Amino acid sequence: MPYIPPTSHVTLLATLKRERFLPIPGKVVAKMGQRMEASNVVAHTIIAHHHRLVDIARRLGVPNDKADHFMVKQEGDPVKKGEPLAVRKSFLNLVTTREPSPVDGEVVLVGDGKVLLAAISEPFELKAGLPGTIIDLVPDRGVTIETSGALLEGVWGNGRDDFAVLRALGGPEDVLLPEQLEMGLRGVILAAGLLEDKAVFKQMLEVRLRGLILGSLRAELLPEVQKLPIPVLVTEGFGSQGFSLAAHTLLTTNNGREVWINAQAWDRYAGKRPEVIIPLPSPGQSPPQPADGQALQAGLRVRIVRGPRAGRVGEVKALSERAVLLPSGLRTPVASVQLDQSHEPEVTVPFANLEIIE
Amino acid sequence: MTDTYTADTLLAVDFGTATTRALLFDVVEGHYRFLASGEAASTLGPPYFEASEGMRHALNQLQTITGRTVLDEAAAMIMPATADGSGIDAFVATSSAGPIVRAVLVGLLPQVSLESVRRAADSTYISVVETLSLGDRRREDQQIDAVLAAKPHLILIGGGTDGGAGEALLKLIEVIGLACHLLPLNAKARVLYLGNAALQEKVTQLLGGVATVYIAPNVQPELGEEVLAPARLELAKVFEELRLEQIGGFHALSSWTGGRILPTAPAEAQTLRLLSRTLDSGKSVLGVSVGSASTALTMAVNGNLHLSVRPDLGVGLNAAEVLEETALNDFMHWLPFEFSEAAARAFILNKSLYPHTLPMEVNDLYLEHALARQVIRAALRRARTYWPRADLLPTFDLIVGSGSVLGRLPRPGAAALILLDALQPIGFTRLSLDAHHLLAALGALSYINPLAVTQIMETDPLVNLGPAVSLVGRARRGDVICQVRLVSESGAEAALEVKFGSLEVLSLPPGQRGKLTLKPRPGIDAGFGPGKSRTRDITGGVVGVMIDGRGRPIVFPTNAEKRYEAVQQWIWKVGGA
Repeated sequence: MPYIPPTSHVTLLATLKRERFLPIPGKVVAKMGQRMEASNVVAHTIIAHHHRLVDIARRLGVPNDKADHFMVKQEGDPVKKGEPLAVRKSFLNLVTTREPSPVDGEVVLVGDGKVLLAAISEPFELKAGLPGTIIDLVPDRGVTIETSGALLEGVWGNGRDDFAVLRALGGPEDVLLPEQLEMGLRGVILAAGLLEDKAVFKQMLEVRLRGLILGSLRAELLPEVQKLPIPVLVTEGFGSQGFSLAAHTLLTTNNGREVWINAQAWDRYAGKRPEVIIPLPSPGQSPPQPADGQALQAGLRVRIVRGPRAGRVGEVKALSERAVLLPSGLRTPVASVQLDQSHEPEVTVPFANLEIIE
Repeated sequence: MTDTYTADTLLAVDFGTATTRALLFDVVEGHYRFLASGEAASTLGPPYFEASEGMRHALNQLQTITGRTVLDEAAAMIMPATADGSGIDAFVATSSAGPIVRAVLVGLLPQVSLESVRRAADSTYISVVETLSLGDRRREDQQIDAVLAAKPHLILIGGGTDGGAGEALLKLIEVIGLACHLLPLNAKARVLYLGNAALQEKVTQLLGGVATVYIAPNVQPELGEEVLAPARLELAKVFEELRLEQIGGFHALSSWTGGRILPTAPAEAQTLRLLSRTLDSGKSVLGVSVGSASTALTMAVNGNLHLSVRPDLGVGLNAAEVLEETALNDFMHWLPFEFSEAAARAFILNKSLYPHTLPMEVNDLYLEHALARQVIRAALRRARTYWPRADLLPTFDLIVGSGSVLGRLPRPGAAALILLDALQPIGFTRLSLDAHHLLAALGALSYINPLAVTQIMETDPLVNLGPAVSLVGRARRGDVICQVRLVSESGAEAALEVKFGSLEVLSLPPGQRGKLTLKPRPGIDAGFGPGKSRTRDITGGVVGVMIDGRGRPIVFPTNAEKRYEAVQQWIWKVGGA
């Protein structure tokens, strides 16, 4: 029975398709086949900032079922703050009572003596995020963009995204220091092995970094990183392992190129991972899409994801035919892995602690 | 589910977040027996997005183990079984996996009806993200925005006794109606109404146009009376419907299982309830099920159930929640070696990133066990609302542990110690382990073939870890707090003095009977009252007879080196390493 481990993509060149959908229905402005830049708007919608419920009947002093009669705004009408929603004139028109809108926005519902208003400030614009071609379009919802480029999948993200020039600093296990953040890094997406010192945060914002790609992150810093206004993506995990060699090589060879950092949360059921996409030209035929779901076998590139060698990458040399007793006392099938850039003999790793690097 | 009372070969499949398990049962010499199980990684996420793929992998393993054919050449299930013994006659399925299900709870009084609604919601894998009640000080429009921000899949509304006044509840329902109106068309919520029966029609009328409305019997039909079982059943059905939509492959699978894929925790609870009705030695059972993404605690007393499911807390995918709910220092207390807080925090977070991974080294295994203890303790805190004293666990005749982290342990003593440490039971109890993940399977089978379940339970399919006596009271570390004497039916005798702070184990093989005499010193309670001595008939287990003299709560040595030594001693005593 083949074992199919998770796959983590550290792919130098592939055809990539990404959905860009509005959170609620709206208008898609991009066209099928259109070439998009990262900053182009593909769709927009109106998202209410908040709602206000106004009791018109009570304010005008009329029964609920009579209030509709005095409404001057109806469902779907735009409304400005202070503009009357309802007007009641007294007998002989001597006194006029106006009930003003408490917000700029839109009338959502009218009924039973009440008005529900949606307070709207700015329309929500969905940008392409990455350059590419629209290959699918779902009316009112969004588009699918196709591009070619490198793909680096991460394990954790703080929910933000941006597109800017990549600058890789130092070696795979080098710690990012505050003094490295000089003004020359203004507006770039920075890649660094480790983040261990929160003094870096202030400096990062001062030089206006657009994003941060980390090999690993000190676990105590997680709450603060979550709140940072720029996207932060971690490729390996928490602790001090830094980048895997494969990830570091991909980032350094693309130093100076524009990249899309999408630090979305890892949603295992939707199949969405935090990722870095580096758009690259693909002369001639389109490269294949990233492969997934391969069975573990000799010759495959793998990454160890647990234990003291977590983050190390190597090649599978052999697989055990049956479960093997581990020092922990558990019995499980294992693989022999030859680690990259290592003079160590092959190491034994449980199948469960391996990911295919593709 | 399939109506197959005469079926012989039964298959039960459980879809977990990390693992899919297939269990095979058949008639052997006129009685139903558990034959074997196969397991494989679940395939609910990428690249498959298809639950049946993982099931086929598990069935392949099952076929290899048993030599029986369940799948045909096209990898389709053979059903019903054929004359040559291939295939199965009936198929039941359970699942604890799936994306988060967000729920808004609505009740009148926060401590009364809202609490009852919460207890109903606790019975399955629902994350409560917002509540509305009369105690809510927010304006109506703020409440509407709160419901919208919650993006609920489910809204549970309770409140009012049957036939009582309904105006206040209708006002809250109006808020829900407005919020549902504003939810996007592709995100319509399901509303389960379990309040004042007199309002059922009105609720359907008010919310029917903006949500899918389900009606269940009132959880508080009369003042002071709480009836949760029918509401829980209805909720389970609504939940199952939602899961059929959310999880790829479930719709097709449900056509084999009579339309149902039961949530795992209620199915396990059903078996525990049956156990609580049939126990020879007593009637109260506590079930602890620890999964990668979820944890469930079930208290079954004389057939009554209290179920508390935590869909956001587990030892894998949702391990990080432990950092939110428990002190890191408590995690460190379970380790018999020095370990930094930073490394502990990183271990827990990395476990949630790589939930399927296994410990290679012994210390790594201890870290995993420490995590399991903290997960159970965090789940216990929520479940404590179900029992009278917040500081001590009530006495349970039987405690059953289940889930991969307990079931796959190389040594049963380690599982026993995790249960003792995490739950810290009092008095006399028996510890068992669901090593083959039978609880959910039997719970699901009980709806279609109760005879099979009865016969399988008669074979005592759980691993009997052994009796445990937990001594309650205070003393100085090292003071003798209890004299213990065990006489086995074979005539062998053993005696020991239990010192405060120690955990002792006397050997009594599984199934062998014996008489255990406990003479605690004044102020120490061995389950019969402080200072009271007694002799009890007991039956041995794979670990032996455990006498826990570590105090309740467990008192750790303050000196770190002495603590490592004590924790290591406890592990060695139960044969946990």
